[in-house]
Amino acid sequence: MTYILEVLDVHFSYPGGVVALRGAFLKARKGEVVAITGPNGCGKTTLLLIASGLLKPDKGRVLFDGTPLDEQLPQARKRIGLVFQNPDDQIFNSTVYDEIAFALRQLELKEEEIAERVEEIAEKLGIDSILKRPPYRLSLGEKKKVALASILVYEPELVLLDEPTANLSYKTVNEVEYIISELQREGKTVIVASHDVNFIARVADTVYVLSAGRVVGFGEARKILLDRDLLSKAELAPPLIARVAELLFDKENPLPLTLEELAEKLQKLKHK
Amino acid sequence: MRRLTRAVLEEIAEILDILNSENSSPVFNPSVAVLSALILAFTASFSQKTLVPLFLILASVAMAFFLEIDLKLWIKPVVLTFLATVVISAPLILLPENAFLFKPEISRIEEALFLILRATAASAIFTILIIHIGWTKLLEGLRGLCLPEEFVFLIGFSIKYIPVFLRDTCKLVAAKEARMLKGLKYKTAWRSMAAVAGEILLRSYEKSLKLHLALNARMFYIFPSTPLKHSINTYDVVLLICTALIVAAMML
Repeated sequence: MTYILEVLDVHFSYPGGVVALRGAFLKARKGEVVAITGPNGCGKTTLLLIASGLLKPDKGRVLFDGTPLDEQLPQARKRIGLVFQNPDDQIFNSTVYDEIAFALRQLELKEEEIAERVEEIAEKLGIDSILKRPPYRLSLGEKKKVALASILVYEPELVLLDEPTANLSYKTVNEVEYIISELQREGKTVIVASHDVNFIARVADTVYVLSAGRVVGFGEARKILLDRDLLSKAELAPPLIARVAELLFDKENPLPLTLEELAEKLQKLKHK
Repeated sequence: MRRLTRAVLEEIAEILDILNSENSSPVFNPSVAVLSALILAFTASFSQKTLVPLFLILASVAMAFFLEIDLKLWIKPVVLTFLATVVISAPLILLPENAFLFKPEISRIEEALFLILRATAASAIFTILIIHIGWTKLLEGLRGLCLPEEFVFLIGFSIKYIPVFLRDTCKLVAAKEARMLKGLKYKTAWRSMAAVAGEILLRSYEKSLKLHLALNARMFYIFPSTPLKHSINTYDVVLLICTALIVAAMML
């Protein structure tokens, strides 16, 4: 089985002695959407920073395409894109255009090609009208899209998204979901760190549950997201749709995870 | 007064944003442009003749037209330097040798004006060349001059970081202002400002770490093991000759 990313038994402590990860692990196949979930402060962001090669683990290994990631840096960064939780921590250029073009300019591309690619991604994400604006004057939703565009523009094979739906409107969350499905269709691997189980239920193939820096459970999304005991260890609950279905249907039945699945189940009941 | 503080912070952030621009195909070789910018700024700063800084200001304007740089962009940092030097040189005008006699002396005024002129000229010529090559090429230019990697990174990081930091400071000042009640006593106001300063120091450290990660995440070739090669063209030779002539003019 080909894994594009393997994070094996990593330990990490921040200066000052705060232990963030205690033997965490994660594996992602090509074209897979993997979600990391858990309560605030469980180490999701740290795991993403280690997976992207930005932090070096105190112990453990990170393999990217079968080879240690630290041996492939900084070149491997062209193949990995990390979108930070807070766009204000990621955006540092004076205009939206420059922010999106930042990575492309290092690839020594011609300005015409850079412009073409920037405009293409901006149009795709619906931010083409704000390209000349300074990023600090944008709304949070717009900033998140700019941060996402600045990563997607150089077409990384592995996209890491830290809390991509935090504080976003319903419409923007839908757009983020669509982008993730598009990336998966293009054969790219997406790793999402989020504590929004409803969002995870709609996008993820595999889920890792983290608690206090340890992986307390992992596996197929449906199995993990319906495991009430496992989720409660990480101060989480199953997705809302599953909880509603639990009240409506027999627990023995496979419970729906998304609105579409619930609708389908209700339609079948109606026809019966 | 508090609004003025925020306005000044925002202005400085915007000025640094100007240096944070990009140009993928500059006319000059980045190393030649950086070297000339440094030499010419040095020449303007230490010149003993009025003509040299005046000529450099005119040369900057001419270069702005030649390099098709928006004059509005260039003028902001130059005006800021001008205003800062006016403030700095004010004691020269207002406090003559005998500090108790508030009577301006012509020679002191001349000295102050010359100081303002030199500082403005140095900023004008330096800014025009740096705006032209842009942030990425500035770093490549500095590396091409074989400066220590840490120094190059510090310069590059500061240009990106200072505007972000200043805007964060503005937000913090605004948040404090929102909770300040009317009729605040000076003592309480100073205590509050001191608390803001302490908070800013702590936040600046956290913010710089995050920005460092964000920069690293999208840096593929900025700090390669060997400097990037840029050829030297006719424009570079002309720029170097002009720089040498100006230095010679200062020495004569």
